[in-house]
Amino acid sequence: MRFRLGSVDHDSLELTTVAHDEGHAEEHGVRVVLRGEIDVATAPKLTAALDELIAQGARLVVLDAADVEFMDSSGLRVIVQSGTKLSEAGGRLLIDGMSGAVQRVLEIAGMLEQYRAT
Amino acid sequence: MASTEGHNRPDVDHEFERGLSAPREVRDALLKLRWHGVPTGDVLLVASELVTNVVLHTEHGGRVRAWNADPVRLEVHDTSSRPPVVKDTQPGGRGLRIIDAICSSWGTTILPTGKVVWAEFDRRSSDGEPTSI
Repeated sequence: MRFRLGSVDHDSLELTTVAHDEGHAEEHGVRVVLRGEIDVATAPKLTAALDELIAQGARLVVLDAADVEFMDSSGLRVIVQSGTKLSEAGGRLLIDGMSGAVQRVLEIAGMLEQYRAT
Repeated sequence: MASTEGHNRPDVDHEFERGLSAPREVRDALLKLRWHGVPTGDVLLVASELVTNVVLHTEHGGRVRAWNADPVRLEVHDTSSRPPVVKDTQPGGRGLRIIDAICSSWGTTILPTGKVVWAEFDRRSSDGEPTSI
């Protein structure tokens, strides 16, 4: 695997990079599995992790948020900011796998279609 | 309904220190109750947004009071008299839009000692229609 964070555990948010989906043989892609809660306390760690992956050259970043039990606008801010950084670098941020909590917030913010992986 | 007077004793009454762990602490306190007629996730989300605003934009901590009534009511008290601002460009602006979308009503009461931001949720029956009581 080209991009690596290892497993980063910040009390209530755990991030793990995994090999990208077999389907896309995406050279610059990485999948980040999130587990826990994204709020004002944990959002900076998610930003730092995504910045690190972008610095390593990742361009297609797919977040797996199926096990994110809670997310508020602090998480939306990370998605918008990291999504913009990736777009500016010619890449993209997508969310593949959403808990009900994540889907609800994205829906309310009108951001669901923009970030949902199809 | 902007005043806290006339309400019964709150079902949750929780003081919090200003700190990044405050939103989680408040969510945990609210999770101890079974909320009737509103999705628990919505109550947690609105409370988290309001407490995050206190943590980011005021000097001190605050207090959360919640009533498991009809409507379900949340109040977040803090020590700043500046009302919250709804702007996407500002931290917190997106959070207030979420509150606006979820709650049946919300507002701010400025007090000599700070302010109260309150939010109410109309109860829904299981089929999604408002309950008549």
